[in-house]
Amino acid sequence: MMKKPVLKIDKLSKSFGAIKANDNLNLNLFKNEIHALIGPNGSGKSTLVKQISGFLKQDSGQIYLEEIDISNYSAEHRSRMGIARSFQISSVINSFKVIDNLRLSLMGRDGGYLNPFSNIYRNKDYSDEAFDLLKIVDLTNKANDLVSTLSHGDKRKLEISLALSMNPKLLLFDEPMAGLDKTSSQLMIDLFKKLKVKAPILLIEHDMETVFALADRISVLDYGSLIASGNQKEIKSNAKVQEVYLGDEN
Amino acid sequence: MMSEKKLNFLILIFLFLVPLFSILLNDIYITTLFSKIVILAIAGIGLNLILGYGGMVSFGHAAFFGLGGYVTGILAFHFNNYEPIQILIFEFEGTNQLLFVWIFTLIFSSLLALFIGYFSLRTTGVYFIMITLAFAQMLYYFSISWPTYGGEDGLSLSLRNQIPFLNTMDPITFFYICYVWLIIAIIFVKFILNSPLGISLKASKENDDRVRSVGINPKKVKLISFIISGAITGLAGSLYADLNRFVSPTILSWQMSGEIMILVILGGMFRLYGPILGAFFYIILEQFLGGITENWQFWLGFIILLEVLYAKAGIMSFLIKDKYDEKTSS
Repeated sequence: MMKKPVLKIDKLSKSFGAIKANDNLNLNLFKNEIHALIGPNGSGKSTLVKQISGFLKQDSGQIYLEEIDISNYSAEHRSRMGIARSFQISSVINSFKVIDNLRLSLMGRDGGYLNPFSNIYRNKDYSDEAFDLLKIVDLTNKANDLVSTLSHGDKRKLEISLALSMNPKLLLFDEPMAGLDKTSSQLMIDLFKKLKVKAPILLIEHDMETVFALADRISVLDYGSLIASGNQKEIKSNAKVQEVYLGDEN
Repeated sequence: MMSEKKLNFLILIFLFLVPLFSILLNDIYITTLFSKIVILAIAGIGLNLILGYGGMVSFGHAAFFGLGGYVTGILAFHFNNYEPIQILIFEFEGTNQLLFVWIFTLIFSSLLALFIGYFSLRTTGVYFIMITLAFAQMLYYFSISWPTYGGEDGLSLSLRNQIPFLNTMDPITFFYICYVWLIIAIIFVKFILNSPLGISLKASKENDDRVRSVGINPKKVKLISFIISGAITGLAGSLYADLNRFVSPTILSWQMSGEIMILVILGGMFRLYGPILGAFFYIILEQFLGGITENWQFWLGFIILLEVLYAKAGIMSFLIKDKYDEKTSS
């Protein structure tokens, strides 16, 4: 029996004027896997993530999450369905405390965010869950710090914990290692290996060392088109991939 | 210098004692003046919810303030004339009972805020400012051209609307009615700021994408907040009409929107009690400078200019220890 994909991208296209950002893309993401998306700058990786997460409307094609067509769902609806993402440039609420960012996401996950009466700061369940999530990314000691005072690496970690707070069915990480030091990168690599069991990960990453350390499958984009998809060995030996992206790296 | 909590407490105590000062100084006008301050503070608290905490620069809150005033005036007008109010095929009696007047005011202000907010929140930035202004100006010109309710001359209320067992014509009683509403507005907005709606509002002010990525629809959050803000400001307009026993198109004008906005900025946008201090200084300056020169608005403008340049967080930032000017987390 064929494995059913958690995420299925079917003939997805997106253009900005004359530029084709994504051209008739097909892509599947299965349980327990990290699927890396690589390609030169401007190849359409982030555009694809934006379309999957609902921040950008596709011109044509379909997106399925566990066989449900979510192509026309809003970003917030998709988030509540379990599509969790991190942003290319850290996107957190800087004027909030670290723990309040998590309270916000836990509340968003559960709905009821229009409630004007209950006191969110007194919700012990959210506080406990927020601390558990911060423990995963090693940020508990900064729970009460203002996010604006955090280092770049800590903001990255917070973003990951925010994604995890959504009870994700699918994780979309857009260059999560960018700007991290070696120790933090290693922490992320170890973390992602554990996380893929909970939810498959679509990972955009430029650092090939990280990609090869993590990815079960790799897809390569160039000018919005998928030029190759396969396991590490297949990608490394693909002549076209060598030509447009890997070059002398391997 | 003191803590914000202490200053807030002192503000409430001071206001509570105003009628006493008024009696001691044998000048009842002080109480009436402070009724106006309290009413404008309520309107400011309403605006501050979306301006300070939600980042929505509404330049049309006079629409709600004026609507509250006109609902109050129209209900009293029909009550006094024994003429029913006709809306399409429906007929309603007027009333002079404040409890009903307030309920109607809250309903109509909320509905107007829903309508204005629904369209305005499709825009942001300068377009949001312009569209809210445009809606308020539409109502302003409509009220001028509506002769049934006085047109440009406005509408007089022969007596203040009533509450059983209270003499609302007594300035002190009316002041305490306004004071109670101020307390209710403060408690209500404080509740909101600590609630899921409040934290979502504060977050969407800063980062809509993050808010959406955690499953929150920022437009809904802003619209609900806009409605609550409009309702609070509408209620202030109702009290204002009763205070003056008069309502005219002036309270729907852009100058009124500007006045409410100025007192919020003057007091401190990110502080719950900021609009109270703002209203206090605005009215006192108006009285004080107005007694010295006809061009008092020039000097008021000068003071606001200084404040915007040197104390962006408002007067409250001068008086309290905590200088953090954009308080979003509790």
